Amino acid sequence: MQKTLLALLLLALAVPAQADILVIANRDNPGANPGTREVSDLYLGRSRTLSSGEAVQLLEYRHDHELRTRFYRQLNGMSLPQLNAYWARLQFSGEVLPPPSLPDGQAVLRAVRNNRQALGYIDSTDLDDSVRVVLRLKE
Amino acid sequence: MSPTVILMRKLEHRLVLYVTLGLLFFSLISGGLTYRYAYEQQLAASQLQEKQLIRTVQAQADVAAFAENQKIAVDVIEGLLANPLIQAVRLETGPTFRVERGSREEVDFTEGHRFHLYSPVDHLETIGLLIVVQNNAQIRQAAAQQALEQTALLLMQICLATALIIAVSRRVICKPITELAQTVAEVTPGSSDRLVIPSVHENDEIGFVSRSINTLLQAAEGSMAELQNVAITDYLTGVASRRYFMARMEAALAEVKENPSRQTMVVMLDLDNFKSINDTHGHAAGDALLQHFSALLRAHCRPQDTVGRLGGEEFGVLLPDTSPEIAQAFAENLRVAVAKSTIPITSGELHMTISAGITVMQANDPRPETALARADHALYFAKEHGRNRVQVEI
Repeated sequence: MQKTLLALLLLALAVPAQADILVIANRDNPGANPGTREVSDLYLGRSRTLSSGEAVQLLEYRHDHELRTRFYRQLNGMSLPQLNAYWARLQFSGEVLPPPSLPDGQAVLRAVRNNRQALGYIDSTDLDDSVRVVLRLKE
Repeated sequence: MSPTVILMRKLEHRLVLYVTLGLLFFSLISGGLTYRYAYEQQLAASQLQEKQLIRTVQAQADVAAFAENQKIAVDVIEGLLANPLIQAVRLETGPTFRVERGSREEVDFTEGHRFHLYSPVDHLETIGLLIVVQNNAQIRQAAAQQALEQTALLLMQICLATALIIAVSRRVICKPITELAQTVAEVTPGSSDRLVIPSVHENDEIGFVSRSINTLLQAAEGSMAELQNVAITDYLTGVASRRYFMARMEAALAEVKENPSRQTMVVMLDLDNFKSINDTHGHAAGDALLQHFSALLRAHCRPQDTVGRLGGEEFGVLLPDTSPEIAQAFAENLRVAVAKSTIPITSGELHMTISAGITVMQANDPRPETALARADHALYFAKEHGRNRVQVEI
């Protein structure tokens, strides 16, 4: 039993290249605990607030960022073309804007640290203790 | 000629009338059926069209429902309403998000077609409904239009076909019948006239009718000849009837008046005591006497002579181009031959004698009866002077 656990642990450590994606929030925002579905709805513009009713400031990566593709694949299974088509239709209305985009994980960390309502996602390798992990999307 | 023409017009008019009535009836039924069919067709077509329309807006409607975006929903609905087939549309995700547009009239969305809207994320989860109410008035109107057009086209085709049939029947049926009627009108029944059957009609109904008419003409000719024979012949003796004899007398008189140098003799003959023989031995014996005598009489005549039975036992003979002497010799020979002959009857045999009166037909005789009366007078004289003798009275 212990040997099996050890083997699994070794196996987990042996696959480091593409790590999990972490959804992070401000440390002073303990009420923000959205589930996968809620995060998906927020990022697709379906809902604009948390289920608690609290306002949210979403942070997104630039269009061609590698993490963005992985994020949606792991979050709700949408591919990049699907996502683009979706936004094209939604933006057509002129009422909804996609979240503002940032260049990299460090920028996201910084923004989450400075904004209490912010919600973003980073590669687990970029994590530091200045932010709070609210959801872990396993690879 | 004119009755046949009127008949033809009537036939043609009736043909047109019946065909037109039939046409009207047929086109009514056809129109009704076509309307029903066209309505079903239009309905199916509109449903297909509706499905195609929905397919084109599906992704947009999915997004509208997913994001509960009023503006996109309205865009989708307005786009659908641009099609005249669609009366009203409702897009809803639940009681909180419901967008509907369409006819100002009260629309029953429970009657509408319902299309599921799916999450753009996984395309599996149903997140809302698109309810489409079709414009039935529009579909009915389109169906009526289609039915009307098809029926009109059908009517046009049938009208053309009818005109063709009438034209052809006029040529193939009416014209030959008219011609046949005209030909028949020109034929004299009882004569040897027959209809000539054109080779075109050899084997058709016209030919059949013509042959039937020819058979009728044949029968008529036979009957007429028979009737004529009956009219000019005495049934018992086979000599000419009184009527025919008098006609020949009239013709002979006309010839004498025209050419007085020609002498025509008139002889009247009478069986002596015929009445008593008839009473004693019966009518059958009397008939036998008459037949025996007329046979003898005819045997003594020349082909150009005419023998007629003028009454019961009275006979007349017309002898053209004959002198009184020859006529007298003829009568004497006959008298002797009759007196010498015996006539067998059932109860034995009979003998008889005859008396004769002879006269010449005169050019100044006003009527044939005048000459006959003179001959009768001579005959009377012969009877008065002992019978079985010949008397000439010029």
